[in-house]
Amino acid sequence: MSLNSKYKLHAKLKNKAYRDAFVSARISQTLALQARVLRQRAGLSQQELADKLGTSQNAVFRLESPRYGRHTISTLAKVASYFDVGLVIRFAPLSEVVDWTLSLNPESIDIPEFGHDRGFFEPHARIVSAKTESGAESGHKRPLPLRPAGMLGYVSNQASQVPSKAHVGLSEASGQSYADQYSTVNGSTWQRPARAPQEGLQ
Amino acid sequence: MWTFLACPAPGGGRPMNRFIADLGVEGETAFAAVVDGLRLLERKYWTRPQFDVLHGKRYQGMGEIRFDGDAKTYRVFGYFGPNKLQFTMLMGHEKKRSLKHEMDLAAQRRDFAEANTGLLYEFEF
Repeated sequence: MSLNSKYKLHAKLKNKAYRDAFVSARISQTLALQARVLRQRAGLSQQELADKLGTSQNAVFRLESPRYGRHTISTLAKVASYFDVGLVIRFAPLSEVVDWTLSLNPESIDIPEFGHDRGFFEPHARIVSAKTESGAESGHKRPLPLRPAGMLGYVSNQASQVPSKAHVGLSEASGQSYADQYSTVNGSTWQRPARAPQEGLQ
Repeated sequence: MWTFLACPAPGGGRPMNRFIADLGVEGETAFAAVVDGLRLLERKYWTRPQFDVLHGKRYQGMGEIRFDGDAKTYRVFGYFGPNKLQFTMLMGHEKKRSLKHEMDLAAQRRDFAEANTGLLYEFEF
């Protein structure tokens, strides 16, 4: 996030008309884009999604149109339910909206469905490369993006490489087994957050 | 993520900056929101209603960002490049019945931009 951008935006937001337009544009454009990407990622046409939602193709067209902007909460909840994603509707300080705007990432648009929502398993997880230090593929599959379609800049940390099993001894010597440090979910390898020794849910 | 560049006019001046400055608040905020969305998406998801490619040999590799604001419809012409994950914006216009003249001008600007990549600058709102 660019602090400069935040200052520039703050200056513009001193204008009430700009504030109103800013919030309105973010709602309409983001909803429209998210709805379209969710549908396209599912490989559905507008008509096919309409059939599944029990509505018309025109209603889906409107959902994906930033021009429309008059969706009911129940309609949005229905769409969220179909794609098995959450829906957040609440009032918020403008600064929070600006922060959100400036920290947008691919996951802000392309939302994982519940079954692929890694936030439940590894709140601080980062996807890591399966290559060993020598550059050779380890015995682990290259982490498959859980949601490969539609997104760019998928979080990866080339510096944090998954060790091959040959290196596990080093990990175990440090008191953490390979399994302690990495987990595999749906074919993807995730780095586990460090565990605090005294931490635990009793 | 995509980076959005802009190209100065051959005679000087920054047409994209001028275009944005002339927009009303609705137009400006809508354009910023569209660009912020597109920058996150794979190329294959750059489709209507937010984007469309320009058809015709003269316009190969070119496209238009589409948005509304202040009761008007706008198009911003640009092209993919010069590098991967870059989209260079050339000029913006209010949508009229036909934008053929503007599209031709944008194609000329694209030729200019490709021959003068050092003049391109990252576009920020």
